[in-house]
Amino acid sequence: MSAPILETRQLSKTFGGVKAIDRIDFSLAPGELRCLIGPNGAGKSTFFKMLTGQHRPDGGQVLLNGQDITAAAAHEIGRLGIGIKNQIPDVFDGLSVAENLTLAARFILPKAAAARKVAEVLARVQLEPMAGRLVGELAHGQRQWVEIAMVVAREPILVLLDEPSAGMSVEETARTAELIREINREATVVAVEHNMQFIRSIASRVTVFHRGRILVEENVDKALSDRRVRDVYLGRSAA
Amino acid sequence: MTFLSAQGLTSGYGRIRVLDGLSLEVEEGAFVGILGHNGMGKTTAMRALMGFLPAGKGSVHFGGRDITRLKPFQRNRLGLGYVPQGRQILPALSVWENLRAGALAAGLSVQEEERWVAEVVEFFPRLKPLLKRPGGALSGGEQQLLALARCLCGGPRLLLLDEPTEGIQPSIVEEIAERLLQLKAASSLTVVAAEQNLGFIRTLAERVLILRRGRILHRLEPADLTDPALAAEFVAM
Amino acid sequence: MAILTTVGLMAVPSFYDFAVQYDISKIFVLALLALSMSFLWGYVGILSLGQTAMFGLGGYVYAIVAMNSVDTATAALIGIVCPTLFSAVLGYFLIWGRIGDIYFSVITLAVTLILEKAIRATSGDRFVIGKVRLNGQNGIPGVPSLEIPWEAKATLFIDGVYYLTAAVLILVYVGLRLTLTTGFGQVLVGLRENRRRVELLGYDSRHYCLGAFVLAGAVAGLAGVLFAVWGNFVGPSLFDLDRAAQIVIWVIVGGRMTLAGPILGTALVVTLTTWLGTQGVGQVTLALGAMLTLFVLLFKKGLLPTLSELLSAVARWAASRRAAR
Repeated sequence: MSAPILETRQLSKTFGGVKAIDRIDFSLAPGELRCLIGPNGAGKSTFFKMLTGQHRPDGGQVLLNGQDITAAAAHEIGRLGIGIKNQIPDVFDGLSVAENLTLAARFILPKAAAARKVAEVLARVQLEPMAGRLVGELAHGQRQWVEIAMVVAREPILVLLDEPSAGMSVEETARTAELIREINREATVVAVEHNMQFIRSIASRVTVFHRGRILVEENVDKALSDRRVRDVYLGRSAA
Repeated sequence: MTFLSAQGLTSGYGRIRVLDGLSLEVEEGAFVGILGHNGMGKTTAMRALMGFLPAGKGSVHFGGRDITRLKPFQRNRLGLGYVPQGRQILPALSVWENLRAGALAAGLSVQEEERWVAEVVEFFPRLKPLLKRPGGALSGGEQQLLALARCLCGGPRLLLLDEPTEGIQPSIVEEIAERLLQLKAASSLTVVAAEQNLGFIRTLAERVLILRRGRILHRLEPADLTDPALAAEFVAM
Repeated sequence: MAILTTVGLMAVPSFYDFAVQYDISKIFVLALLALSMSFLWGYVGILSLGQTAMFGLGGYVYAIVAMNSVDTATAALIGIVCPTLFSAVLGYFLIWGRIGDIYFSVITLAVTLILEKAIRATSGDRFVIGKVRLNGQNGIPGVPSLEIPWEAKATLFIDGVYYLTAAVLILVYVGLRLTLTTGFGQVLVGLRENRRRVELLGYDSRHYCLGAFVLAGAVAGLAGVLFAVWGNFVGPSLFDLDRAAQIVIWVIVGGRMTLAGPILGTALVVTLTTWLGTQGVGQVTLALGAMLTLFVLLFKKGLLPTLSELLSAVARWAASRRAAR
């Protein structure tokens, strides 16, 4: 197996006496498409935020391609190529869709090339008809796409998606899955999700978080049929 | 009897019209699901029914009263409860304080209020161990539960829910569905829910409205959602 | 529109006397100060209440250097460079310290008030820089106007100052507009909208905030130099709370999310203040306060955005009438 693109060692974070993340060892192979699932409050979003410098870990290490980025600031991590879509979309509401993407693309490309990149990404996420609309005026799900598009426009090597299908209709969810598979051709992807069908359609391997620890790490079918996972997470309907 | 109704309601943001003649009728004690793609006006419909967006044309009636021109807090006092998308938890207040805030408008004495909030907490046992934590420290799913519980603390007669299952783990989705069913049985609570989760709608709703371009395009029975052909036609348009 | 305004402004001295030119020049200078604040507040989302610190520094440095028989052009340049450097140092500590938005406003305000107090305490013979007595409370009178480079021993008179301030205001306005269209400017707007996202994209927000703060500091310093040139006087009131608060009013009245708005706001409020003063109302401050309250209630976005919304609504209505016919 090739060297991991991302690795955490004994990563920990405590909020007000509660161990949100408790000594997590996590490893991701280049090119993988991994899903992170787990009960609400298991620490998934916190984990993502620590990987991207939005939260500072209390202990442990984060390694990106072997480089220690534990103490790096958010912008340094962004520069190294980790892109994240947060759970609540972090977009520029007062700017148009195209301007949002331009800000992302301009970081890596000169003006003309950035414009081409924006056009290409707009087409990929099918946001062309909305290019001139203010992002703040869009529906929740569309804003999620804008955010994913911004992440993609930065050409990241590792993409973290926190609930990409939240608030999307059945067909939109299918389109999002398609988009994620496409992103995965160029980048390693980790997605936090609750939609089982969606998970089955994109991922082969699933990591289950529970109370800040990794409960199970298995391929999709095994993980979702695991008795412990059903008890803490899926509930009866999975039976 | 019609409890909540909208006739030819138009609304939107500035020059952009999102609702384009929305008409719907909800009977007391009913559970109505609203389905539709992003950008078709679900959230706008909720916000217009609650009075956060001004009505252009048309009217909204609630409990036999014309509420078209009432402010959100006035509608709330009449018994319209609203759980917005994004939850809008008061992040610096504890879970308990968030719930108390939800009960404020009822104008109870402190003791009555505490007793009442404690009752609501009994109803959501998952919140119990979290009461002292700041709302902002909860995970997304926990915040959603809190938002629902907080809304119930105001003792609403009708609940407007905007994507109540978004970002919630499957077993809590089940729990929310159960709680809502119990509430409906016990107190004839009326619910209008914009939702994407078909399973949730199927379990709870008696009627499903398909929203498209700011109007109700179709009315379905929940059972229709299991029919793959119909579902494909109306839901996965 | 912009060209018309420019031509109109340049034609003023041919039609109006010195008194009018003098009053309008003052508005131009103060509008620069308002621009420096609204650029930061409306586009970057940083509320600096201490732009008067750079303004006052610019004025004082120009006065002191020019009165030490250095040529006035050099004095003006130094008068701009000093506040620019000062804002770089101040901005570095405030921004790298990652203090909250409210603290930023409070600290910048405190800085300008400290400078005011310091200047007020400089009366007496001990406080002399070169040939210039600082004079504490009383300020420094007799500050020379700018020399005209192509005419020996001639300085700008009232009409000259008018042209100069008008030209500088137009240049700075255009310059700031252009800055906002560059990549740098776009990132600044991004900071206002969502700082976290800007960082996640890989931009170091601190560099951009500091850049904007220094740029605004330079503009405020420039305004200070021009103020000294205009009034031939500098005093501690350049730094004081009154002025710091007034800028906020100008910007809010005009509309902080635009650059032209604050210019309009400054013109309106300053004219009104002067007019109220001559009407013997007595309670100018009270009247101003009432006006601000009214503005915030009636025009939430400020005068200019509200006007342009109104105009486009009228245009739409006219268009629909035409279409109906």
